[in-house]
Amino acid sequence: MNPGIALTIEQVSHRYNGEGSSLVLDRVSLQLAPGRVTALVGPNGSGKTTLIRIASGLLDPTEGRVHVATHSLPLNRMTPEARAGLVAVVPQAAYLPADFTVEETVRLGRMAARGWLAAEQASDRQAAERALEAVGLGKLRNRPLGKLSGGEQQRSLIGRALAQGAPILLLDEPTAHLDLRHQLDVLRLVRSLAASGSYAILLALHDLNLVSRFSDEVILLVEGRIAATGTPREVLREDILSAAYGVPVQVLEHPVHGTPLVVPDGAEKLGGDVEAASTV
Amino acid sequence: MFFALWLSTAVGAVTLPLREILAGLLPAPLRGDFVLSSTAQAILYQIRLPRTVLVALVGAALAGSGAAYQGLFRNPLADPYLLGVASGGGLGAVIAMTWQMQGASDYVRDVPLPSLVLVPLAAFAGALLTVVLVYRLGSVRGTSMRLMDSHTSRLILAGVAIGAFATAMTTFVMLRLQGDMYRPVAWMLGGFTIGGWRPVLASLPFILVGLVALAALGRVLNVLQFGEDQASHMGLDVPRARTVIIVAASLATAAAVAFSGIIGFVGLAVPHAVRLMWTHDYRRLVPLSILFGAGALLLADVVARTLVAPQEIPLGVVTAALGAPFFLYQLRRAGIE
Repeated sequence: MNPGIALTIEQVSHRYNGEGSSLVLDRVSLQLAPGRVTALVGPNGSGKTTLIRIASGLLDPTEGRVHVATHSLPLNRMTPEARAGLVAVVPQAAYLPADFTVEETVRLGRMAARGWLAAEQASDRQAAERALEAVGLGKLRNRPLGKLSGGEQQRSLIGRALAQGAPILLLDEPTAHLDLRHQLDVLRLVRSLAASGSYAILLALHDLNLVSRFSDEVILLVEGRIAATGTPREVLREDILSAAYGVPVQVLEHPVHGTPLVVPDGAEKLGGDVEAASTV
Repeated sequence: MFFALWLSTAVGAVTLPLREILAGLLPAPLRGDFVLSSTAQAILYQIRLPRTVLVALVGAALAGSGAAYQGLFRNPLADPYLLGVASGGGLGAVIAMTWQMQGASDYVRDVPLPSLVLVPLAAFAGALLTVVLVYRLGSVRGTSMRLMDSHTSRLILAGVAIGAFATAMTTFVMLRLQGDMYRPVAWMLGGFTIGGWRPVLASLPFILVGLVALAALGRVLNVLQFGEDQASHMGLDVPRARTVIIVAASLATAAAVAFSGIIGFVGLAVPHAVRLMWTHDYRRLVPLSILFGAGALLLADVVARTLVAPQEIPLGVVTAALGAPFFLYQLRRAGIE
């Protein structure tokens, strides 16, 4: 076993409507390693969500394979229960039943381990308890999901994913619709999970400045292909981003962290008024 | 529930006191010197008890499967009636009845046993076909993630449309029927007119199997509350879970419809009431719905039998008349909280 690799995506291509339709993903390969946060970025429609679904084993790729560590069976050929023990997903814009409490939600993460009918066991309760602590929702355990803030809802879903006990976490836009504080809140949590060394994390994210701050590796997806990959500093460059997004982009230096600071350059539209653009 | 059982056993053209009912139920050695008149005995065993048990079974089946459909489709309006499953099952039952009657010579009240098996089986086939059709027509392809609202109303619209079609076909089949229309017509009106223990014995296995399965699947239904996408992520084999739940719920519904006709509202109102008053957790919601479904339908049946005695009101009329205001009251109360 190669301990450095948790999940391998190998030459994955996908088209939704069979032969002849356009490729949503075109020979994408990537690897996730424990303790690292890999960010998946790219314009809308570049195939990020499709890639996450394929990486979760839920969607069969048209070509290519997804493997977890040493398992010889491709992820999408495993039983749903086995899959859920290896890969946990925090989906985008997830539907939430308002009545369910935080604790009930987190405990449902144990379903795959326990099966349809068997009673909950002490180990399930402990796993759920650890997950609740890890996402810092111990005090809100009895609050219904409908009465939580967006950030707390997102943390509940991360808690449920942790309760599954899977070493690989896939998060699709976990900061969508969250305000600044909750964005940071959720991403700090993701960061700390990676820092524990137990999780390999793939994070689809639109906000390039959050990517810059919180990821170890960036994969830039454009029209189904990997356009660039590397550290944030290597990928978040003016030439690469301008080409990928089709708008002029300026990359400055973060005054505090020294990380790349991405600023869309409104010069075109604003007739060269760079000052207005940089206030973003 | 026990109160409802007692009331249903006691009330009728002849009122049986609780003492006699209890005495009649006890085995002979335990009765002591209490002697039950043969009339009372006959009323108790041949009329009241079978009807009470059958009504309780039907109420349990409708409410239990209603809870399961609501959970599976994540749709508060899903119930055997609105999804068209009851009507589809009804069509199956009527076709079976008709087909049987054309050949049978004695089709008065004494129902030959084969029809007791055939009718629920045909109802089951009709119910299953309907729910699969409704699900296919009502779900939007490739939108398992979002568009919940439109998905929800589409499902109900498909259910209502197919239900209406099945009802029309049922009427058509009945009108084409030459000769004695007594049974199908009485059945349509939601009457428990087939007396004796046979319908009870015929529906019991179907309803029991269906409801036990649904009650055991509470955790699966809980997981499904997050949508099929998230349920898959959580490691649920969604297609298999959907199949098992649909088959179990349709089995219970079909058996109920085969012997009781089409009774609306129980499958909608009872799970709702349980949800508003006690829990959203399907591990308890389904068993509680089963229990209170039985109790509620028994009470409704007592009303149906006594309100304008000696005439009987069709039970479906009573459930709607009693269920609707209660349901509205609960809805309002929940809205205020």
